[in-house]
Amino acid sequence: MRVMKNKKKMLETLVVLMLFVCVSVGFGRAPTEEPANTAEPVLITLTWANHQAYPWNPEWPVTTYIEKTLNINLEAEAIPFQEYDTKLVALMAAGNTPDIMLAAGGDAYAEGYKANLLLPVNDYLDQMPNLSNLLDERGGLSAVLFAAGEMDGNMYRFPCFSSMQADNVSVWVREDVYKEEGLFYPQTAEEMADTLLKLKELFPDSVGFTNFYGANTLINMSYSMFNVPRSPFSRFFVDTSTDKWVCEAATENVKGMVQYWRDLYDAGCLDPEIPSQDNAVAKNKMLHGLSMLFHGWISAIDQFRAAVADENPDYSIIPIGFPPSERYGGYSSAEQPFNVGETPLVMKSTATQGNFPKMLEFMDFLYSDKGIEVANFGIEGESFVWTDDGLAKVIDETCVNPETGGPSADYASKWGTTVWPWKTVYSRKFFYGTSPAVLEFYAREQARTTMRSPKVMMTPEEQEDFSAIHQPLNDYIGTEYVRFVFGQRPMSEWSKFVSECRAKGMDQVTDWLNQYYERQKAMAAK
Amino acid sequence: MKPHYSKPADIAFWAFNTVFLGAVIALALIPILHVISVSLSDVKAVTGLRVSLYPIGFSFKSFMLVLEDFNFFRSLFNSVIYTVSSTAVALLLTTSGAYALSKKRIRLRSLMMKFIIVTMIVHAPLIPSFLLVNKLGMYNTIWAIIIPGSLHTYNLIIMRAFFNDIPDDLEDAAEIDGLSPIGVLVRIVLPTSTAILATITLFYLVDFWNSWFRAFLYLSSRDKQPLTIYLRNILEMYMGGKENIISLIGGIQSKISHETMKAATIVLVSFPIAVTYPFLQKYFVRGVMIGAIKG
Amino acid sequence: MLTLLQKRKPHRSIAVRKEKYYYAMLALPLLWYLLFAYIPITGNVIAFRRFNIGSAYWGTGWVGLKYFKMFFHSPDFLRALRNTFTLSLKYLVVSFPMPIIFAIMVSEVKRDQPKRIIQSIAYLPRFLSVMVAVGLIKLMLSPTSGLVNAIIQKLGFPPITFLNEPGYFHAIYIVSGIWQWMGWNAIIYFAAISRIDPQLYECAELEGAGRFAKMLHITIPSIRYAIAILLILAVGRILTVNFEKIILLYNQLTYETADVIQTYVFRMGIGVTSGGRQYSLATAVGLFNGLLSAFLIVAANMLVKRLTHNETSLF
Repeated sequence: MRVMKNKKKMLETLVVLMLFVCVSVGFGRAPTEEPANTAEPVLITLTWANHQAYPWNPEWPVTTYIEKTLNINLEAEAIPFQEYDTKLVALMAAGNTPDIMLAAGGDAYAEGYKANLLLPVNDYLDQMPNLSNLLDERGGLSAVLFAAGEMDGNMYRFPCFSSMQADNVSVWVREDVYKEEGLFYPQTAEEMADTLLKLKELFPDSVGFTNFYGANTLINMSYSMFNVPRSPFSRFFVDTSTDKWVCEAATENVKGMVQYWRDLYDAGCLDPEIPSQDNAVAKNKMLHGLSMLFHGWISAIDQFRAAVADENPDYSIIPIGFPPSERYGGYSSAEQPFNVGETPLVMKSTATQGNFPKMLEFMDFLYSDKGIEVANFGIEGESFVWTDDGLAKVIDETCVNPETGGPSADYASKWGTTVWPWKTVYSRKFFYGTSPAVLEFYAREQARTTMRSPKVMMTPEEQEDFSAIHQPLNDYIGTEYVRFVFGQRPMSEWSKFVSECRAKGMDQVTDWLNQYYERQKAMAAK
Repeated sequence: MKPHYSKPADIAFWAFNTVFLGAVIALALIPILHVISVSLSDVKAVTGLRVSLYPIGFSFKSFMLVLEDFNFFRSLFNSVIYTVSSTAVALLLTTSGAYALSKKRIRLRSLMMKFIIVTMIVHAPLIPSFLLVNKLGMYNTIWAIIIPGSLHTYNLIIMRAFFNDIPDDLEDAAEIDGLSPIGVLVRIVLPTSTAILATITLFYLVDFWNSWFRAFLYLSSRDKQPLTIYLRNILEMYMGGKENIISLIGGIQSKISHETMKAATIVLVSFPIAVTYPFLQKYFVRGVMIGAIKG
Repeated sequence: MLTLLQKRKPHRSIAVRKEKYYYAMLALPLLWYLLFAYIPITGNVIAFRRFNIGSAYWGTGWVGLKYFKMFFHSPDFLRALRNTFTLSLKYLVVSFPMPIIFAIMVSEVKRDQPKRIIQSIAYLPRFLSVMVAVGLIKLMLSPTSGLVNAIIQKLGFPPITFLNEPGYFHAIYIVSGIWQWMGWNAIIYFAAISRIDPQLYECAELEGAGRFAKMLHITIPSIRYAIAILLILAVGRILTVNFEKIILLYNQLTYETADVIQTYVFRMGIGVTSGGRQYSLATAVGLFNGLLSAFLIVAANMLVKRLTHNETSLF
């Protein structure tokens, strides 16, 4: 008993000691805003959606450079991106928000918008000259509001511009294999099917076309190939000939697209494992010849080649973009000129804070030429220099790609570029290399048109009713596409599928979209 | 006593048992060995999916890379503090609650059990919980980790069931000797319940070590993050619906996303907690109960 | 054998005095429950109200059963409900006995050393996080790189893409769940078995009982209350499937059997134009889940009470 008593006393003291340590270690204070003071750097708090491939690093030279130039102190909270919106919604509900919320997605935005918690950007344009200039370049404020504003005539997101480069994913072919077998690089979707069939003949053990991230990627990639426009409302788009919204499930193009992949699946040229494979398995197939034509990131060129350099020094891949269908036409995969999908939000309440002017200055800086340069390329003189051709050349030897002179994969994570991708100018060319194949790819893509249907404004109540029908329908259509392609449902049932969509509210959604679209056009005409 | 193996039924049983347990061990070990092998292998072999149960191209490089990261150690330190203190709080609440509720003579016992079980079934929604923690001023402090959610009703119920099993005579005898109920708890009941105490302690330790949700929701400073968040920032978990972000960032391969480094981190994170069980195993001996009351 | 002491019933006044101590012991946990469990739980009321972030805590107006109706009328709700039930029921039936069997088998190992080693290894898979476990499962079942299909092909059959077939999903979920959790869930049974008086075994030995008889008549009956309680708790959790695991393992081709309530809600909530209505809706779904589970746990409790003749129950 005595021993027990002593042991218990020890345990008690240990627990108390632990709690004491915890209290002293754990006591933190929430970041407070400090008034603008020319001597001391102003504190600005951010949240950042942390992706595993690209984790936030507080010591990034680019961030430090921006902090020094503007005399601010950026304090970022890195939240895993899958849970990002959840946390933002919770912070908004408690009124405990940071100054700037980067990359805020649909949920957080919708909550803030509904509750009038967000800062209307257009009201502060007079304090943001650089942003105003860029907006003027894109058609002026009214054009931008039509594309990205809300029903109340305000724009709540800080926009992200792009220079209409190509998408940073592509379809790849194995250059070495094609050269050896005397195959041609497909220029159209139909040619791509032919090469796939030929490859299957030559390599019966191969799985055919494969990709990362599942069946959705396959379907999404095919939109541009088969001339099915994209829009902010999945599965619906504006038919340019009639200027009316239609559902894609009712169109011939989509049927052709699904049929195309289904035929390839039946012929054994489409990897049946696409919906369920782990990324590691997919990568293995691409590296070791189980798939000679596949879909992946632009940066794969160097990485893949380095990964198999020992076993297969001839390995080489080149991007062919997304070959358009001859029959249905196709458009470019290039980015849209204007994006407000996952761009920064600021809370209305920050307008009364002491650090607000500095914060606007910071946001505006990133739209200035210097800001764009720093955010996209790095620090001139330290990490890169401008060549006479107007291209950027990496001078940091630890992360340069010897073949292209561009940055290696480690460049962005070391220097902190592409964190603030608010105007991506030539960053794609810079970042993903300037090998002839890549440059050709960009040129080809930019020569074609892009097609994206506009955003349609709705009130929060309308939005709720709309989503209640649209979201399940969207999910259903997506599921059925995959089931058709991967053999779970015969193509003979296609018309049945369309009538199922009708039964699930396809017409109601189309009517709503047309109604609101007309209203939006009428408002803009005034 | 020496085991008899004379009966043929016994031998058959022993054979079956050995096969069964052998299969369990093998199935448990295979994935563990795989993860450990991946962490010790060369990156190229891993990408080629050639690594199965033993390392190919043995190298400690990935472990070195992880251990070079100061963040790893800080997160480790945080995890240890959070886990130990949460467990201490949890044990305090659970033991006192379970013991008191195991006494049949408490009036309203049934009502209170229902009261408690409701909380296990109906979950509090996210935003009210967050608002409460925020209002109490606990946001971004350690208190938000160790107090809300520290009591797992499941464990309380199990402990109560075990306390129920202790014969009343033991405690009556102690009471006659003049001990207060708290004294009975501390001096008689707890020493004889080492098995269940060890079990529940283990459950709490492991649950808190592995928990990430509270840390994710209630902490904002980087230097307070525990290991689970550190791991979550490294392991990719694609749940669908974020294709646009992935295509934006995709392909930027920092050192972190190498498979071997992920495996090394997993090993380093799981190792501390996985070895606590052997330490607690000695408490799984039969309690001091037998012989406490002379037959 | 234990002999019973003469019980001297304490006076009523002493009994009452003693009760005060017990209530005092309960004070702290009860306070915790009130503050950190019940106060947030009252927030569930927003399932019946329109909720706006930034406005009142309780939402702004009653909408009655609107969100519940919205949820029930959504097209694949019934399928999700059906899948949740069948998956968890199958899981319960198949996986509940496994830790018990395992614990009893291990207790039959005579020497201590191998016993400890077996216990320590068997629970290791539990420490693999969901992502890692799913990655391993996908690797194992891959038609091109997986072990299972390698064996199938050696036997002369064509490879099967297991994760594309709705028919296999439940089996994969259950088997991988057992693989990961059996060793860990057996720990509580180890604790229960360790409390059995060895003298009982010795007496049985003297009376000529074999191992099987001993197991049947001593081990199992001695832990029957632990089994009963854990069974009720398991039934109470029946609607809590492992959301992360399912969402990582399923795909469009297996929605038919794999889509459960939580994953369905998750998919319906995200989207470019989700409008954020998911918040009240999610609460409504959670409440619905809770009510169903409450009903089940009460039923299970009543059943166990009857079966054990009122000896043991949860409440």
